[in-house]
Amino acid sequence: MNSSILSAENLSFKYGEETVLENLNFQFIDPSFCVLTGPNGAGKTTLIRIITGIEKNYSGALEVFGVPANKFVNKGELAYLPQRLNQTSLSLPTTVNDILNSNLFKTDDIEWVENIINKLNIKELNNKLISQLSVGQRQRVWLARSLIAKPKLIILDEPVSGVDNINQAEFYEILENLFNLNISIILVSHELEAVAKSANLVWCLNRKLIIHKSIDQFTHSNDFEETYGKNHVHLDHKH
Amino acid sequence: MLEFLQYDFIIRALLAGSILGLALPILGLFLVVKRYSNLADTLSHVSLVAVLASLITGLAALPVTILTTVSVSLGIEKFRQSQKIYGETALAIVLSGSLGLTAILISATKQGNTQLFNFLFGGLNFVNQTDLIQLYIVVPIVLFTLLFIRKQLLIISLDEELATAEGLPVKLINNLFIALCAIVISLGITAVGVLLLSTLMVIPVVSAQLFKQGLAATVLISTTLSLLSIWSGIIFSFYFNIATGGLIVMINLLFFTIGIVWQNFHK
Repeated sequence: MNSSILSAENLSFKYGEETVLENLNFQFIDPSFCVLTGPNGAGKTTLIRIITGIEKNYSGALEVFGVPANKFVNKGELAYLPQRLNQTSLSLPTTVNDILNSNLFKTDDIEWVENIINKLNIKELNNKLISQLSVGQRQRVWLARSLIAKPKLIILDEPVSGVDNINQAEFYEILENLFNLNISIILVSHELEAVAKSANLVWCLNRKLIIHKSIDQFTHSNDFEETYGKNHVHLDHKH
Repeated sequence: MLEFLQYDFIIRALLAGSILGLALPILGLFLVVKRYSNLADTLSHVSLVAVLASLITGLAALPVTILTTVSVSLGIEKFRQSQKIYGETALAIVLSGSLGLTAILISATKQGNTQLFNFLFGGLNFVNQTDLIQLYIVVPIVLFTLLFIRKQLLIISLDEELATAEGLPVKLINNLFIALCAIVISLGITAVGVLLLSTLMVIPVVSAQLFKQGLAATVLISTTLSLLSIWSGIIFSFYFNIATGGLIVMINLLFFTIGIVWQNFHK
């Protein structure tokens, strides 16, 4: 407990001549529920691609579970839900079962898997093709798949884009439950209010990283105005 | 009625056709999932170049063909992975190159038209004992390897970046898979020819997809369609004395058409 899952020292990334990330310094302590926010093109997806080992050409230091990110071999402790997953595989002959099966070799704990399938309410979808599901259902299936290997950290890149409001609320509730199970979360999102209750960390990224302890603190700070502009209306959250 | 079974060449054709008819759609399924089905056609033409070259030089056909096709396939994969060039573009370039080389080699070779026709459009009736032994040793090994990597290959085929993030050996499995395709294509070129290789890797899979089933059922449907097309193609071509390869392709297209009609009635 309270171990550092991610730690960065002067982490920078350049795309050609353009600096995308500049001297990022952070410690990500387990368990945390972090909302990663910032304007479009601020480098959020790049940061995630570095953490997940997809992008290896960064400078500075980044440790993931104590290992340099470009040498880290994921054995299931890190789960990732890329943004595009919703668009992939639509015409393909894959059922929900096929998708779940593709990760089943990482665990022997059948009880845990059944638990996930029940909690995420996808049991009755088992034999359906991915293409026959709604966007919200599809997202729950991919989330279930990523949870099979019992990750300690799950990274989600704008998971609810294209999902209707009711299913969005349901999805955020699932994330809260995961956090209650001590699974750390990094959620890339612009919708701060929806997770204001549960998130205990806000990373505001705009080439540089600014860290806040809560969404309230962030939305009332100058950083918020600088990130989203002065005309953004605050929707205060009543506790 | 079963008089065709008295002929050894028909038995050999059925045996060779059966094992290739089983393996090609299974490999093809992953190519279709990867949106990479043109690989089948391109690698078949590369194999053709290698077979023609070995005929001219007198080198042993099978090792030369496997070596050439596997190396070219890994080269294409390297290009695709470098992201300097699209996979489809790399395939198109190699396809043009191999067709050009084929034309040059044909003009240089003294092979009769029949053999050339077989390499292009299928010479199932000319399969010999050695071809059969090679097929029945190598293809089961290929299929067993595929069975072993199927889950990783599925997720890599669906989304390579996700697979990378999950710590899968993406490059290794991609290379292995493409080499398996190249090996089966190299073995198949003398038995079924360019046309049938690319047909059987793609059309039965696309037809099976029309039935909107999961992976296992799609494998079952596509291999069944593929085997039915080969068996009926061999038998009908025997009785009506027409080109086996061409007939098998037309039967596959017939199945595809039936699938489309079926799909329209089940909307």
